[in-house]
This record gives sequence, C-alpha cells and structure tokens, in this order.
Amino acid sequence: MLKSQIKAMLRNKSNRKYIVILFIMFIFLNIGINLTYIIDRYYDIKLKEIADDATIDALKEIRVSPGAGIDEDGIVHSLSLTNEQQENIKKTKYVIDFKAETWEFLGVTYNIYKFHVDDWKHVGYVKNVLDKQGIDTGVYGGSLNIQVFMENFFKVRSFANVIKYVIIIMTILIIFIIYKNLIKNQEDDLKLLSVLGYKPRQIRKIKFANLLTITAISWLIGIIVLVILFNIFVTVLGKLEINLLEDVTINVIVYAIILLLATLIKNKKKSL
Amino acid sequence: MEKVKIEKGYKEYIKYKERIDILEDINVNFETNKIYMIVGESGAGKTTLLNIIGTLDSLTKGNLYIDGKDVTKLNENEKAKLRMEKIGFIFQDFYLNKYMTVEENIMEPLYINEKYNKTTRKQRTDKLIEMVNLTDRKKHFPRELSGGEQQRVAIARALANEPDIILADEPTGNLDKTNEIKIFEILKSLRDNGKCVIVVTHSDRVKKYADIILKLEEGKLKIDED
Ligand SMILES: Nc1ncnc2c1ncn2[C@@H]1O[C@H](COP(=O)(O)OP(=O)(O)O)[C@@H](O)[C@H]1O
Ligand SMILES: [Mg+2]
Repeated sequence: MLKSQIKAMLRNKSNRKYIVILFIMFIFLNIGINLTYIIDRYYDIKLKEIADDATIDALKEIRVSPGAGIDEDGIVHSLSLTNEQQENIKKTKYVIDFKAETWEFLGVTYNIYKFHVDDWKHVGYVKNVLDKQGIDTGVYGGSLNIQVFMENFFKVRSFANVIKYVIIIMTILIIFIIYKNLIKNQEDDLKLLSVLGYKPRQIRKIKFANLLTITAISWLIGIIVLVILFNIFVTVLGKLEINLLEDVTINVIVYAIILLLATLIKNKKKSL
Repeated sequence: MEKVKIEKGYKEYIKYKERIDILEDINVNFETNKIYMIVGESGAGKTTLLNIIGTLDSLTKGNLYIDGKDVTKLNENEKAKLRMEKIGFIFQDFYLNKYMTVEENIMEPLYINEKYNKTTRKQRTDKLIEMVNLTDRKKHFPRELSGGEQQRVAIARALANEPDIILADEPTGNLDKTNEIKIFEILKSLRDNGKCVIVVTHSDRVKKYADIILKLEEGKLKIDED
C-alpha cells in the first residue's frame, strides 16, 4: 500500500522538483546555523598568519592590578580584590586559569591578578562584564595591525550574525511553503483513496509516509553535499569541530515544527 | 432486492448566510438488477444525491439505508469500510491516479481488503484488467490511454472489491458515442449480474439505457414516466 503510493508520488515531476529545492534549502539552513562558527574559524586562521603563538596567547590574557593606596599613617599599602570579587571573576563565562600574583616594587608588594579568556574573540565580552562590576581590567590590544584585524572581525561577525538569522528564517519559510505545496499536490489522490474506502488513519499514514520519504531523500543528498563542502572547509580552515549531535537535533526540531505547521494550517477545503 | 433506501431525505447548504435547499423530502428505493438514471438540469443536486448515497456526503435530515442498515449514524471509519465493501464509484473525469499505471490504479482498492494477499491481489487485478479488455495496456499510464480506455480502468477499479452498488456520475460525459455505447454495455452486464447501478446524467441521449428514470427537479425526486 505505502510502496505503491510512494512510487506514484515520486513519479510526479513537481514532487521531484521540490526534493531538489528542499535539498538546497537543507544546505542553506545548515550553513546558516553554522555561519558564525565558520567565520570565527576563518579569522582564527587569518590571525595565525599575522601573529605568532605567544602574541595570540598574550591577546587572551587579562590583568587586574588594583595598585596601591596610602593610609592615614602615610604607609603605602597594596590594594587587593576581595575574595568575592575574585570568585566572581572565576565564575565569569570564558575565564580560565585565574591566578593571583604579587610583585615587589620599591619595598611595596603589589597584588596582580592574571587570567586567560578561552578565545581572543571573548576578551571584549569578559572585560565588559567585569567593568560593570567595577573591576578595572587591562589587556594587551596587540599591534596596530592586529587591532585593525580585530575591528574588521567584529564588524564581519555582527554582520554575519544578522545574515545567519536571515538565512535561517528564509529557508524555514521556503521549506514551509514547499511542504504546503507537497500536501496540496497529494490532496486529490488522497481524496480518491477516501472514495475507495481507505480509512482516515490509513490516509494520514500515506500522507506522512510521502512527506517523510521526500524529506529523507532531500536530507540524504543534502548530507552528502554538506560532507563534501565540509571537507573543503576543512582543507581551507583546518580542523572544524562541529557538534554533530547538536546540529542533527536542531535540524530535526526545525523540520518537525515546519511539518507540523504545514499540516495544521489548512487550506480552504475543495469539494469533489 | 432492495439495496439503497432514502427516507424523508433533506439536504441544505448554507451559502453566504443563506440557506439553499438542494434536496427536499426524498423518498426512494434502489434495487438490484436495475439501471437507474437520475436526470436533471445542471445544478439540480444530482451529484450531491449520488455522494450522499455513496456516504461521501450526508443528509441534513432523514435516513439512508444500505442493505437495510441505517448508515446515517456511522462514523468515518465505518463509512469507509462500507464504501470499500459495497460501493463502486465512477466519475465523469475518471479520477485516476495520473502517476500510477493501469495495473496500479486498479490494484489500489485491493490493498485495504484483508481478503487479498500479494498473490491473490495480482490475480484479481489481472482478472479485472481482462474484464475491461485492457490486458495489453497494463503498464500504461492514464495519459497514454483514450478517454474511453481511462473510463474502463476506472470501472475495473470500482469493481475491484465486488461491490453491489455502482454509482456513476456522468460516466460518459467526456466520451464520444462509440465509447458511450461500450461503457453502457459494461454497465448493462453489471446489472445482469445482480448489481444495483445508479447513473447520474444531464444528457437525454443516454436515457435509453435506463430501466428506471428519476427526475430531480427543485429538490424533489420523481419517477419519470415517459
Ligand atoms: N459544498 C457545497 N457547499 C455549498 N453549496 C454546494 C456544495 N456542493 C454543491 N453545492 C450546490 O448545490 C447545488 C447542486 O450541486 P450538484 O449536486 O453538484 O448539482 P448537479 O450535479 O446536479 O449539477 C449547486 O447549486 C451547488 O452550487
Ligand atoms: Mg454533477
């Protein structure tokens, strides 16, 4: 029963056309989802071209030096962060290996706190968060060359962030329209099944089997093409650590919601 | 033998907040071994009446009996089962699946009949194809057939599960004279084999094939004596 229905459905040229569009949309959706990630990796590679490892490491470092104060008796005292402030820094997102050090200068011991941020792209964020807590931080901004590079990155990054959502929304919309059309394409044949005595449950089963088959085919081609694209990215960008499980989950959820909406939002009923 | 009976049948539609009475106080019996022809102008409600008999549509008021059983209160699943077992539909525009071959189209109703397995389904299909003389067209698609051939496919499909009631809505409306004769020859042989055949038409030309002519006019159904 399902087999002959699916076979007939795949013989329909317009359904096959929709499979091609769905496959292209699948690629776009997945590139959209990973767009900012790809840009990040690209700029990582670029940075390595203009800066050595030690410089990149320095870019990730943040220091807090509270300096010194003089008490009523005229004695110089080094200032320090409270325990709570230190805990807050450690708890801040992206912060790693927080260290408290001391430094002697002219008989006075100064407190210095050093820590790293996991990625140079996150330094600005951490600095901002600590600023709001009244903790004054210092960073090594890099040479003029690097500063221009970073400025450029953040511009591209925020633009890509917008593009990412535009792509995602557009592809979701197009996928939704395609599903609506696929459902419409089936309508007459499903109505015929009702005339022939198929039960509503059997008809629903056929409808979803058809939609799932089309989705599966478009995914299959899409995944093959994505793997090829991925390999190209890898040769250009080096190691990419895409979280596969997260990616698959996002895709399944997105498609399930689209399918559900496309089925639930009814067209005007057409009589025989 | 009585097959279909409508008692005090009414059908109304609400259109633009206005009530239209399509069928009013329909009382009619349909028996086996007869060809009934329901005539009437376009828009008289013939299709509506036929769809009601075939349980695709329902009466607003009144009762429909099939084989003595009141089917007015059946749910969708029960109605579907009844259609599968007892009713064969034939339409003016054939209503075939364009993307299925002759064989596949005819096989469609057999999948939901538990009586058949893969082998017997194939045998039954072959027999039906032979019956409508399309054995050499088995693997063809509807677009490769003439209108008359397509209608024969539709008839074979309608007969697949051996229904007693054949409902035909303008079955020769899109066909020429030669094919019209062929189709009615098939319908006549079905009648002679104990089926109850109900044909809807607005053409006077095919009246001659009827055993009983019923005229649908202003919602009322009357036996046409002449
Ligand atoms: N679903 C519907 N909703 C409203 N009016 C309908 C519907 N179906 C049919 N009608 C109306 O019922 C009347 C009879 O239609 P129909 O049974 O198709 O006539 P016939 O087959 O005799 O030409 C027509 O006026 C048509 O517009
Ligand atoms: Mg009609």
